[in-house]
Amino acid sequence: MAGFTIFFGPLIAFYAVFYFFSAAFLIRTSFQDVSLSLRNAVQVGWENYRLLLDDPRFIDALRNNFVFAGASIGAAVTIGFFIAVALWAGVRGRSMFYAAFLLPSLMPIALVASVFRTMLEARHGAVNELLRDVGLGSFAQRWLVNPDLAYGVIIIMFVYLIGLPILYYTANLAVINTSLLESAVLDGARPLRLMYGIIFPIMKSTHKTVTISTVLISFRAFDIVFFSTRGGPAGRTEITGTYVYNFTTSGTNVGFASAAAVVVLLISLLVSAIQLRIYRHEGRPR
Amino acid sequence: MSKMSLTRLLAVPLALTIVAAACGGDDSTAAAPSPPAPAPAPAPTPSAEVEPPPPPAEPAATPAPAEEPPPAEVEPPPPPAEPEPPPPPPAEPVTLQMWTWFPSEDTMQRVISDFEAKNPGIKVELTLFESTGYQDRLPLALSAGDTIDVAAIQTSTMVNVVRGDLDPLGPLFDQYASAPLADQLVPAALAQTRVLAEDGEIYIAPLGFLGSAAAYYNVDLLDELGLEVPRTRADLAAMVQRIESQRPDLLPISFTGANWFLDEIALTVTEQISPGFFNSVRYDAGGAWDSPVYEQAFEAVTSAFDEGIFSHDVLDLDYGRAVELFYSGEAVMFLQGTWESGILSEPFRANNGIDMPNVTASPLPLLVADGEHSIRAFIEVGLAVPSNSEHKAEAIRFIEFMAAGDGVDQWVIDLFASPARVGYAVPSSVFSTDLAGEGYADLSAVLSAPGSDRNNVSDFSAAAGDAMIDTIISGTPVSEQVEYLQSEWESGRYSNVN
Amino acid sequence: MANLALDRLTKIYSGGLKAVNDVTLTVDEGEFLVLLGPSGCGKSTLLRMIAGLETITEGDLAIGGRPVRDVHPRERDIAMVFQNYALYPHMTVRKNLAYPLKLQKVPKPERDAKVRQVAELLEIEGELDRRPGSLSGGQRQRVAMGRALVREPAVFLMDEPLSNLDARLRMQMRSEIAALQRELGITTVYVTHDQVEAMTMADRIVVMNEGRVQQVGRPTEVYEHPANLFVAGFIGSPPMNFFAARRTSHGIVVNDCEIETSGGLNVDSGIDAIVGVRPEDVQLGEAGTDDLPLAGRVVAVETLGAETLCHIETDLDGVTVEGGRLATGPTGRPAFLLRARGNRADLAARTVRLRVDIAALRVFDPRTGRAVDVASSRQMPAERALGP
Repeated sequence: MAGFTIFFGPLIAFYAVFYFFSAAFLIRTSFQDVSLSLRNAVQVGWENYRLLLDDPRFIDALRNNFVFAGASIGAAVTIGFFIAVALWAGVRGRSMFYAAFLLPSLMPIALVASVFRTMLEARHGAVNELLRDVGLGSFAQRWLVNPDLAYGVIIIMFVYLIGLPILYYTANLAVINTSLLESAVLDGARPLRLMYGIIFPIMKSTHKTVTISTVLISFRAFDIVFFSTRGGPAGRTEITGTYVYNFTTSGTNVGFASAAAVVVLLISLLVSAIQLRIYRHEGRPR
Repeated sequence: MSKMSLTRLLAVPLALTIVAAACGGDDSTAAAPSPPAPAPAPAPTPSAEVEPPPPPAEPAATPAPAEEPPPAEVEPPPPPAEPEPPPPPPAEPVTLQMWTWFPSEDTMQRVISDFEAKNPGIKVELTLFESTGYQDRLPLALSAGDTIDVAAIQTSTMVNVVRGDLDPLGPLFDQYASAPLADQLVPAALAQTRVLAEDGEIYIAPLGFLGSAAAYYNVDLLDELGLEVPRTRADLAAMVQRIESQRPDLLPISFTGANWFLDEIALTVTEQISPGFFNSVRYDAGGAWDSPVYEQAFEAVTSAFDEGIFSHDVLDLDYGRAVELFYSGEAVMFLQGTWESGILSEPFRANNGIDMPNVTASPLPLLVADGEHSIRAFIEVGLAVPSNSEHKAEAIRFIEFMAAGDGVDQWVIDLFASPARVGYAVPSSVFSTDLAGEGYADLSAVLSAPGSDRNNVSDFSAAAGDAMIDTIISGTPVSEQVEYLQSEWESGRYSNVN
Repeated sequence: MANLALDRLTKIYSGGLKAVNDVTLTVDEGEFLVLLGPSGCGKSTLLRMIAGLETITEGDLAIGGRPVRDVHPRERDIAMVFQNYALYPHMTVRKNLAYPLKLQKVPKPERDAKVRQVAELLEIEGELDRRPGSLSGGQRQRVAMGRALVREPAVFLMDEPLSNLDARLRMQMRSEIAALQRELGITTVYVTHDQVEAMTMADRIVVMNEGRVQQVGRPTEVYEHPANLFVAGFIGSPPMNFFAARRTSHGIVVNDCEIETSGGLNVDSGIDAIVGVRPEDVQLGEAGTDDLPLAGRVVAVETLGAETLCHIETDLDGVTVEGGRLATGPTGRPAFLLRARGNRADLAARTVRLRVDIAALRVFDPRTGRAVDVASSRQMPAERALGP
């Protein structure tokens, strides 16, 4: 215990100062009417929260957060898992595939999102030009203007960034007990069965890591949306990050933006707590 | 994939890496909410995908519309008393510390060199910031007592944030300048300056005015198609029709369909219908968004998309791409703020490697049947003297030089703002063609008598623009949208109430 | 149930390593064959080649007369028990046992019946709903066995299945597995490096070294008549005593005893012949006519309770054999191991007379390491009978 205190004490103190200070600051301003100059703050009670929860755009943004997070997790534990296993099992040109899948996750998300945006531009975007060049011009779309397509594009972009889950899965596959798989092969399991019947369930702890990290990432996925659709068209792909951002641009209604930030913070804490709880329950019978 | 898009694909990531690096680490300031739209200096080919921030200043909301018309573009009445020989140069050379985020380093160096040549004994040391960082840095530096002699102030809430550390300019000018401030800058500029400070004092000397929205034209393309600069909605419709039949490869009108700029267009149209409309809403002087004027303007813009005057293709163009299409000759006409006027200037084009000699400009063509050309405009880049400066006399000399003296000639060639200096006319040598000069004069005419202040509420602009996009893509009735916007305006969520 | 035929099986890894070298073997139906050898001898690789987990570089393999060289592992009708049991951690014991049946699409009622049957056989009925993680080592071992048995495979492969158990459990499982195998009569190939397992369980033992088969035979055969120095040295604990002998025209001479050999001996190695004798074949007492007489001094005594190991210095030229080869030549007067019954701590530091039944002497060619048959032997004249 003494060792724990010595090693982690300063670290905890450091974190505590920054986290609690900024959280306390946010909470305080969320009850104020105040500008970025932070002068002449007026206490307004719950007014900012009322305004926020009254705004259907905020509720939509929250819902989008969950949809995008869900899509990310779904993609990570299915497609990401599948790719990791396929590469691990030995595909020709494996390192090239690794590069192709990991690179987007290593590049700044802003860059990836902007490239998507440019490629999907209706008039001169590479996607539509390609479609027109191969005679499929009728399939060319206003990808970022049609609300449904834009929503799909954002989901695809979340899905595209599954490099990290692939990395997690690959790391776990490297330490997997191969005789388990050999045993299953001798028992008569075919590759697909092996994948979902044996490998998938025994990587439970990796699924947890992947899920938690994906949720946390998707709650902070401001760049993905901001640099592609900016929350558009007409706010259809708005997430809480871009919503809050819009209200910080003027620098005058900091209280309202703080209230939004506090709500998002509380929700992510809640999600994390639920996840931890579920996992702890699952972990017990071992 | 065509060669063009391939090139773009390669170029864009490069440009973006730079942007990402610049914005990295702090998402919340990724796109500056802060003032000026430095005329983006686009590379000849694929230009940076950066969304140059909507130039909007976000001044304090003190209701006080500017009434007096700004700069008279006519040749000067009595030119401001040109300096009698200034007080003898100080015995010891003085070095002024100047902080700013704008204009560009090249431009600032031209101004400073000229100043130093004409004021021996005074040196100016320039510290140039990124626009986004400047917002935080300057207030901190001032309150920490750093030595700054001339501070550029963003014409926004920044004035109120830092005014406690600034000296009012009036008395300083009276004491040290060759003439009082009121004689050197046009009244409209000074009136808007007062709007920015809650105490109504003048703390900054603004360099000039920016307005939005304006139109720019590729004259070679107009000539090829046998077209004139359009003045009305009917002209626009005819122009688009002819382009589409003769040069379907061209985008007739390029502009960013981002929410904030659609709002700029609609608010320009409100001024075409009823000058002063925006001020009447902005400053609580009886205007409302669900009034017929705004409804008509909203309708005029959204229906232009339905009628094909504006292409749906602009809805996913960002600022940089819209500029790029115009510069590369793929668009005939381009809409943006007056801060894009640099394209009319020969030196600006040369400095930025833009190969597009034949350009002109005009106010936004009338999008409604009955109306006058108009624009919303506001001052941009204010120069101020911090209270703790030890060289106030020299600082005033520099401010006077840059805002109302020979310095104007040095920065005006960028044409990013229309100078606030009394009786100033842009030298015609800046323009390569008569048509460019005429177009600029045309634009300056509305800029000098704006319908309203371009005193934007950026968060509300986004909501208004989104409502327009929603109507364009989903057909939501305009009447519903304007009612919704009025209720949003009153909701207390937006910065109009702060 | 089926027999197994290995014909010149060879495994060469991509690096050029020859893990299995030209192995030809037949495993009879119902036979319990043990592959025995030090680690790295290729026994596990050979087993995995039979299973299909390793490809066959050269040679052929047939199970029940069917060539399976290019048959997928799951089609070979074999079951395997792994060293670490390879139980599926996310399934209960019941599901583990039923898994191969499920994959063979055996109907559920039949599956349940078989699982119950196997669980009873292995006495793990009580653990059916537990997960492998909560089982003891022995229980896991049984489940692994059960999962292999439940399929009633043609051939049963086991890769060091007892090496993760403690000594007592290992002894118990040893006899259980052997009994079970005899009862069920499943053709079994069992890999181990433990000679006790091999000796106690096997119908036949295959001793391997460096990818090659050294000897195939019944346990007693392998023990008593090692085919070469490697087998002689590897099997038996404590190991066989080796010493050098002089060659004569008919055979060799050790001390005063002449031994006639039927095979030719090589003369190039600096030693004429190597003679081996197991510690239990060395006895205290005066030599008889069929014995080789020896004398020496006891330099160390290890009492193990039931028996005593005596380290005795004699005047024989001891040699060291490693990995089936003569490692060093005559070493002067090495300690010579004797295994005596009971507690003989009293022997410490004494000079003793010893006798070795000449029939128990094993003669090896020092160069090839091969055993040389002993045709007959006779004692030399008495005056030369004692050492210096």
